[in-house]
Amino acid sequence: MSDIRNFFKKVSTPNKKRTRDDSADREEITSTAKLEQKLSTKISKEKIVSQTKTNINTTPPKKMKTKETDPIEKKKHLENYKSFINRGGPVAPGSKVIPDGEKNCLKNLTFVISGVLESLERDECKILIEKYGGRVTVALSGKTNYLIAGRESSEGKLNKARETKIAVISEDDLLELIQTRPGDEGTPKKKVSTTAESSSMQLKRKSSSTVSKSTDPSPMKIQKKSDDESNLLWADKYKPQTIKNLIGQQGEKSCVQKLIVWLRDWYQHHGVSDEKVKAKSSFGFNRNENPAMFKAALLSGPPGIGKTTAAQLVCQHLNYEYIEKNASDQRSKKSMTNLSSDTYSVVNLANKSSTISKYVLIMDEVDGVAGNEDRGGVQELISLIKRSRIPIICICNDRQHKKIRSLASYCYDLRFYRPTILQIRAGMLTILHRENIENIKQDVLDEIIQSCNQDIRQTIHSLNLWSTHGTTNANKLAAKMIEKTTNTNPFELCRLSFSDELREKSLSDKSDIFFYDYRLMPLLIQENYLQCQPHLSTSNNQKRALTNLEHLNLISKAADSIALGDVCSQMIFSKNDSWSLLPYQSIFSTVAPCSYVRGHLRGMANFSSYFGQRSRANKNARVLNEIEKHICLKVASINKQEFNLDYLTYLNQALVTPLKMASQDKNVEQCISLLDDYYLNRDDFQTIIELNTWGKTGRNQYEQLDTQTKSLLTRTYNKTNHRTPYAIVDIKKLKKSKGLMDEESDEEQEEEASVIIDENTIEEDAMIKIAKNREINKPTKKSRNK
Amino acid sequence: MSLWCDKYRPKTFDELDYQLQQAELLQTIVASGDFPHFLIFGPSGSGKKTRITCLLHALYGDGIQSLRIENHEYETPSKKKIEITTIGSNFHIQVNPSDVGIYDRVVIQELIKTIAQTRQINSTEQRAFKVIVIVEVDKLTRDAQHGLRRTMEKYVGSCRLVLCCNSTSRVIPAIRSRCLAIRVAAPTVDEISGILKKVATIEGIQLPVDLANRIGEKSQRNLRRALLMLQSCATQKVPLTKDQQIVEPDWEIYLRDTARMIGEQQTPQRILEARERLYELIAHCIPAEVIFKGLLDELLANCDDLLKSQITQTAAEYEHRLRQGSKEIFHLEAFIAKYMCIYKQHMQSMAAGLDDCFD
Repeated sequence: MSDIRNFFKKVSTPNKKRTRDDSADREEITSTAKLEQKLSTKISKEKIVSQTKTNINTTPPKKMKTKETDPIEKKKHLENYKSFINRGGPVAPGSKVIPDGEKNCLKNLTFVISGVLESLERDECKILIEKYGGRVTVALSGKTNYLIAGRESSEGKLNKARETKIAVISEDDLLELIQTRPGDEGTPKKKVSTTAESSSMQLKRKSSSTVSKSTDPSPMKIQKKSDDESNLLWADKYKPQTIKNLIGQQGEKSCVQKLIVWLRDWYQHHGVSDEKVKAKSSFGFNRNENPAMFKAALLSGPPGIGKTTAAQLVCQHLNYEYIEKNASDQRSKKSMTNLSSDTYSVVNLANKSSTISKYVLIMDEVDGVAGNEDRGGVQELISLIKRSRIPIICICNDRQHKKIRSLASYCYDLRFYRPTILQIRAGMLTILHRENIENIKQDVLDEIIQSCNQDIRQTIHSLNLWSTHGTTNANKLAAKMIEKTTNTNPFELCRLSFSDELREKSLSDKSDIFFYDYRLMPLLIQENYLQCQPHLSTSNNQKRALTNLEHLNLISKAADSIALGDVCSQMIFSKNDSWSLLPYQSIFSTVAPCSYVRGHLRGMANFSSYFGQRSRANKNARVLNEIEKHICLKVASINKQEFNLDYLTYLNQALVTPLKMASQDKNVEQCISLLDDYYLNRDDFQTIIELNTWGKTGRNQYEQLDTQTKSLLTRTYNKTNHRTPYAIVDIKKLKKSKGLMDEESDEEQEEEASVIIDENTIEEDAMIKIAKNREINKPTKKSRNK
Repeated sequence: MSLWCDKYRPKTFDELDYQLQQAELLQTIVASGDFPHFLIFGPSGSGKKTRITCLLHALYGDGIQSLRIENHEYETPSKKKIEITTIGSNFHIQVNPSDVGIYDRVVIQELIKTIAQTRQINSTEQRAFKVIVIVEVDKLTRDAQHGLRRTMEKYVGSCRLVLCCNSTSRVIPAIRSRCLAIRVAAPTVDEISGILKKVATIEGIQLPVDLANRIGEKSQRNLRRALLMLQSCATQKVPLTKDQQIVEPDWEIYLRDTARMIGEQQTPQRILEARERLYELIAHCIPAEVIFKGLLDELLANCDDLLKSQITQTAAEYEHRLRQGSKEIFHLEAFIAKYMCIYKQHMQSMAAGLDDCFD
């Protein structure tokens, strides 16, 4: 954004130009200015009102007072005041380019401002005039040279000006005046590239003569520029100004080239027809083959590699006007709708004036469209894409974000990758050369680039930082310092934490590894500490191998510490209020075990198997629970755990042994009758066998059965009906019916569940009646329970 | 056809085989028509729940045996829906609130209260109260146990609680003091072999005394397991012989092999292998305490007497930490590493001592 504003200042233009600049700070400035204006106007309202009414040069305070006593006058005052309050600010604040004039070009000139100017606030205007040596007064006098008149300027002043033959000028005239008037120092300002001015097509973009360093022949200019920008960060200062300056985007098939082609042809494909063009969402491999069908492009890639810059430069390259929206703007559904209507108006305006015909909307930081504030933003963006008449470029970091994924199917997918070290190095050397820094070594430079994770922006920042401290000796130090800030993956950190590199580091450095991810790191350490071959402390130079016992001793200590760490973490997470224990956990879980077995890892760092094993345990617990629920009527005196420890093996044996003997109907029936007796179903049978399979090499007894027996079992089982006291829920059916008859099926299940299983006791006593009554009463009772 | 341990489960007090005195006591309590809340505890396979069934039968008669499964659904304060299955007859309901994990308090509050609040309509034909059997009381969270306290007192007129657990150490004193605690001790080996013989005769199988005793010992005085073992022996080979192999549960074999592996060799590599096997055990839902106990038993059996106390102490320490922590494998592994360390050191010093003798 800042460069755009700079650009505004630099390129001089008399033309009206409507631009949209939505950066937050800008808005803030105007709003505060408005506020100030209102305050000041309130104070001086009487004065102004009286001026407008009386047409007298100066209004003595006395007179004013007398006037106020007149009730009719008072009423008029009030109306005037009301209209004054309601007249609002500039119509299009910031819409005009404020030119750079020669110094003191308005010297000895006196201005009076009246009414509301088109783009400038009164204060801004005053400041502008004063900047160039002019004077602004409140009332007209003989010395006044110009009256700047805007909307609703006072009749009195205009009349007076006509009388005294003071030139009445508009805001635009003022700007032109600033631009064209010679300064006190001499020659009139050479107009910046008259060609650029004459062709309105190039108004918005930086013409080559003003900014582009590489091509600028005039050394004077560079000097001036660096004066302006000496306090700029390098990253802004050396922002690529042309497409050719982009790092790593020079190839024929680079993203930028693709983007140019897409954007160039966009208006041919979509711009002509007024009817709504459907943005096709297509999937599959070839969806990027034909860029023409997309109405929007999605640039994705890690930060700091020039996506936004590329988008802006491409627009400039093709002489397209661009509107940028980024995360600093609110992008909820509502504001997005407003934006789209705004965009229409922009397009319409452009069509009428026909000076600038092509617009692009750049949506920066689309993955930042999140949270409550931006609710529905992405959906609205998609619908915006569908009906848009201008190309939209979306930019995001995380292409895999689930919100972005829905967007991506409507967009021409362009993925930016990190440039190679070589490419960055070349760019960096240019910058360093310009800054007259030659003493950096190539390998140090490479190291810095690498430590910044090939992020161009960060590399430039790092170099900038380095240059301010930079001495030749500090090379290493700088690289180290930078290294701290970059991310590494947990596996790398795990390897690092065991390595000798950390031996001399401070405790806080060591525990930093834990805080990378305090849930994951302990598990990784635990997974890998056994794989670590400890080295003896390097202080005693004997290269003696560690004895087995010593190794075991170290491992035991490490394991002990890890176990303590677990106790610590349980304290933290169970109560959730002892977070102050976290540093202690870091010592127990990471620092201490690593210190005990410090050495090198044999093989690569593995991911913790804890997660997989835990989910396995959970799954098994679930199926056990299921079986226990089925069987519980028959073995009423058992819980899940006892069933697992006692029954499971023998039940399995009792089920499988008859099947193993021979494929006889009798044996199969025996098995099934056992199943039925325990109210187990066919699935439970398989689950029981699976639960009895041990180890990776464990043999699944069911699979060992010959197929004949298996099919016989299935056939026989399906032949007969099996009464169960529980509802067998068919998940597939449940899913189908879920949408249609949700409640109905629920009721059915309930009824099924409450079917009473009467044992042989049923004929024996008078309970029958009661039991039946209960059965009928059951559903109502249950609903009451709920 | 069902397994013998279910087939020959006593249904009334008269059918019980051991702890007859206690049975008589219970019978008299029930006969008086009213009784306090019960807290029945003892090791698994000792017949706690058999006694509860007998108790219920004595109270309500055969109606107690027509059981049904009911599903209840409750909503936690955090709007999570939890489901719980109960088993019940017209006169009692059996629930295991620890099925729903940390939400057991909701079950206690909702389910038990609603049952307790409803009074029996015709108390002349039946008892004036219902019985609620809560199993695995020792696994209830503290909150749930506190939730139980007041309910127990308030609704004593309309319901009686029978709490069942393995050990009272995890039951809060407030609950313990409100109940009549009854300990069901595990049957002795002799009692087990007596029962085994009885069952064998009914089934028409000759059971050698030695085998019966061996089963009794192998089952660790767990009657249920003993009966299951007997049946599996019977299915293997019909005329049972003295030295017949007794089928043990798979997990026990696996655990024993793991312990043996640790005893054989003490290297970091072995710890890794042991870790794999421990994960396997945990994945099969074998409780970590059981693993600890099994490991210790087996390791102690194969090590020098001098080390036994030290190793037991270590095991106790890590088992304690395991209860405080959450990731069982860490503690098991720490124990194994420590054991290896102690054992290896001992062996090396022994070897050094031997060398000294020879020198």
